[in-house]
Amino acid sequence: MRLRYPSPMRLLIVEDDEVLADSLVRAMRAAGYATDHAGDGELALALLRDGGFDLAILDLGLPRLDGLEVLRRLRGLRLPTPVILLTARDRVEDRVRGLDLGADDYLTKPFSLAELEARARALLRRGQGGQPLLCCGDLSYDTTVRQAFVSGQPLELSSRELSVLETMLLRQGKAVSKEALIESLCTYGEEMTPNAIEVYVHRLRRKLEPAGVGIRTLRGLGYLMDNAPDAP
Amino acid sequence: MSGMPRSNGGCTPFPGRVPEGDVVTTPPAHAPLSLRAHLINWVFTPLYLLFLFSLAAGYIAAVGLSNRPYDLLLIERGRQLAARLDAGRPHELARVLVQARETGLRGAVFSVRGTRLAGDPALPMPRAIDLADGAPHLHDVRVGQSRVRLLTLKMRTPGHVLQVAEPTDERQSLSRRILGYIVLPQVLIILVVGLAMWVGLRRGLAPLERLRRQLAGRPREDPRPLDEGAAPAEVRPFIHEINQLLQRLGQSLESQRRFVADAAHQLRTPFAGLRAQAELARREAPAGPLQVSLDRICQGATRCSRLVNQLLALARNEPQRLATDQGTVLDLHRLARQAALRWAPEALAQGIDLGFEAQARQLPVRGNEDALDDLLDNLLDNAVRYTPAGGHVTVVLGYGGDDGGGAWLRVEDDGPGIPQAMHDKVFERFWRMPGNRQPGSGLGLAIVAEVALRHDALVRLEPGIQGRGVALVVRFPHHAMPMRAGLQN
Repeated sequence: MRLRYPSPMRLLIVEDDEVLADSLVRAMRAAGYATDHAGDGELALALLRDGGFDLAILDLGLPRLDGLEVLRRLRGLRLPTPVILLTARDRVEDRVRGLDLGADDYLTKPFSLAELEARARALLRRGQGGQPLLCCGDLSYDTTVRQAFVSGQPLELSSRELSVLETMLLRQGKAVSKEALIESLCTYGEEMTPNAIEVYVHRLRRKLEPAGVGIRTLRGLGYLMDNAPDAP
Repeated sequence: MSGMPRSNGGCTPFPGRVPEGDVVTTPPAHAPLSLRAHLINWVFTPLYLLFLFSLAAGYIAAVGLSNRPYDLLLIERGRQLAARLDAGRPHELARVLVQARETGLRGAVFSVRGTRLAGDPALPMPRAIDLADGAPHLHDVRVGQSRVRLLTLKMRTPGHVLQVAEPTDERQSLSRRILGYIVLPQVLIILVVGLAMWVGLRRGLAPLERLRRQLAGRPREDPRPLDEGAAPAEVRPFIHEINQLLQRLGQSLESQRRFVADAAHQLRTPFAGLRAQAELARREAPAGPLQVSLDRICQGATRCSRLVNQLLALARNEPQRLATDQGTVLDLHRLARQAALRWAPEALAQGIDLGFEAQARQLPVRGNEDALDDLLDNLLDNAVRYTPAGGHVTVVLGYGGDDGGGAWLRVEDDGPGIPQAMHDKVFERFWRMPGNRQPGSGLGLAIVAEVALRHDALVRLEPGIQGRGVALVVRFPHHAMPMRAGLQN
C-alpha cells in the first residue's frame, strides 16, 4: 500500500527502552513521518499537550508516569490524538482497559515492524477522514468516487462487488469472515446469504486476476485478499 | 500413522493426571506398617494366651469343685456300707453288696493280702499305697468301658478291705457345666473386644482415608492445606506438618511461577527491540550474505519472542493460580473462529488449506478467555507448523457426545502424524519429536495440557483427516459445571 500525503504526518514515540525506541523512530522516519521520541511519561504528556501530533505510539511501562496514566490524562484534556498502545502484557483485560481509556489500537510486544506500520497507517488514514486510495498489486481503488483501477484502467464492478472489494482491501493480507462481508452489504436492506457472498467473491476473483490480486478461500471462515496469485 | 485404529488411537489418559516423572515412590523394603495389624497383634495375642490360661485353670477348678462334694458323699456311703458289712455275718457279705448295687454303688471286699472275698468281680484289687494308713483313699480307675471313682476303705473287721466304685458321669457333667459358665463369657468378651476394635479402628481411620481421598482427588500442584480438624487428634500434628510443607511448597511454586512470568515479561521489550532493529537492518541491507545473516537474526528473534510468549502462557496457566477462579461462560465458537482467522494468513503463507467447521453457532464453555486463547493459539500453531505445504488443517467444533459432556474442539491435520508410542510424550514440556527439524520449543502442547487441566477438559490424540496426520481433541465439561480447580473442598 502506498500513501501520498501533502505534508509529513507527525508521530510521537513514547518508549523507555532505547534499543526499541531507536528502531521505531528510524522505521517511522523511513516511512516518511516526522517522528519525535519521549523516554518517560511526563515528557510524553507535555509534548502531546502542546499538540500537533497526528499519532502517538505509547508504551505502557514508563518511568515517572505510567502509560495508562498518560493516556487517561490525555483523554481527560479532551485531546483526540490517536494512540497505539505497546505493552508487554497480553491479557484480554489489559487490552480492554487500554481501549476503555481511549486507546485506538493495541500491540503486544514483541511485534513486527510491518504490523506496527500497518496499524499506524490505518489510524492516520482514519484521522484524515479515510484514505482516498487503497492499493493492492496492480489494483487501486479510490474510496471517494468508489472506482477501481487496474494499472490505471477503470474496472467495471457492480456496487455490491465494490462493497465486497472495499471491505477486503481495507483488511488485505488478513482473513475477512463471511459475516463481515454480509454486514458490509447490509446497507442494501436485503437478506444476504453466505451463498450470495460466494457468488460475488467468485465474480470479483475473476475480474481481479489480471491485476495480480488473489482472493483465497478459507474453508468455513471467509476470505483473504493479497497480491499473490490465487492458489489453484 | 495411516490406518491407525481409532479405538486405541488416542486413549491417552489426560497427561496432567499422570504423576510427574521426578516423583518416585519407592516401595518400602520391609513389610508396610499397618496400624490395624499392630493393634490386633498387641491386643489379641495376650488376650488369646490369657484365654488359654483361664481355660486350663477353669478346667482344674471345675473338676476339683465338682469332685469334692461327690467324694465326701462317696466316703460317707462307703462307711455306711462298711458298717453294714461289719455288722453282718461273713456269709452275708455278697448279699449286702448286691443290695448296695441297687443304690448305684459297686462294691467288693478283699482280704488285706489281696484275695477277693466277695462282690463285683470287675473291681480291681486295692493298691498297697491305699492301705498304708487307715484313712479312706480315692482314685479314678477304668472298669470295663466306664470310668469310675474308686474308694478304698479299711473295714472294722480285721484284714478286710472294701472297694467301692461309683460312676463319674454325674460329676463329669457338673464339671462340664461349670467349665461352660467360665468359657462362654470369655468367648463373648473376646468377640465383643474384637468387634469394638474393628469398629473403633474403622471409625478412627476413616478421617485419614477421607484426607487421603481429598489429596488424591485434587489437581496436580494444588498447595491448598488439608483440613486439620477432620483428622484424629493423634494425627493432627502430622497433618499440621504436612500443611506447613504444602504451604512452603505452594510458596516456592508461586515464586517460581512469578519468576518465570516476570522474566518473560521483562524479556519481551528487549526482544521487541532486537526484532525491530533486525527488521530495520534487513530492509536497509544490500542483497547478499549480510541480508541472509539479518534474515537469520530476524528468525531467531521471532523464535525467542515466541518462546517467551509460551513461557508466559505456561506460567499463566499453572494450576495453583486458580483456586479462586470460577471462570465465566464463554463462546468457544467465537474464540475458535477468531483464533482461526488469526492464523489464516500464516497458514496460507505456508501453503496450507485452513478450514473451520462448527456444528452449532454457539458453544458455551466455562473458563478463562486468555487461557483458552493460549490453548487455541498453540493448537493451531502446532498444526500449521507440522503440516507440510499442500496439506490441510481443519478446526472442528461441536457440543455434547456419548459422555454427555459440553463443547468439544478438534484440530486435525493430514501431516506426518505422531507415532502411537509417543502419544504420552507430546504433552511433556520441551519434548520434541526425534528428528523434528521444524523450529519449535516443545512447549505448545504442554500449554494445551495445562489449560485443559485448568478447565477440567480432556485432551486426546486421534487419527487426523481421513486417518492420516493427527487430531488433537479437547473435550470440555458441561458449561453448567463449576470449575473443579476453583472449588473449596
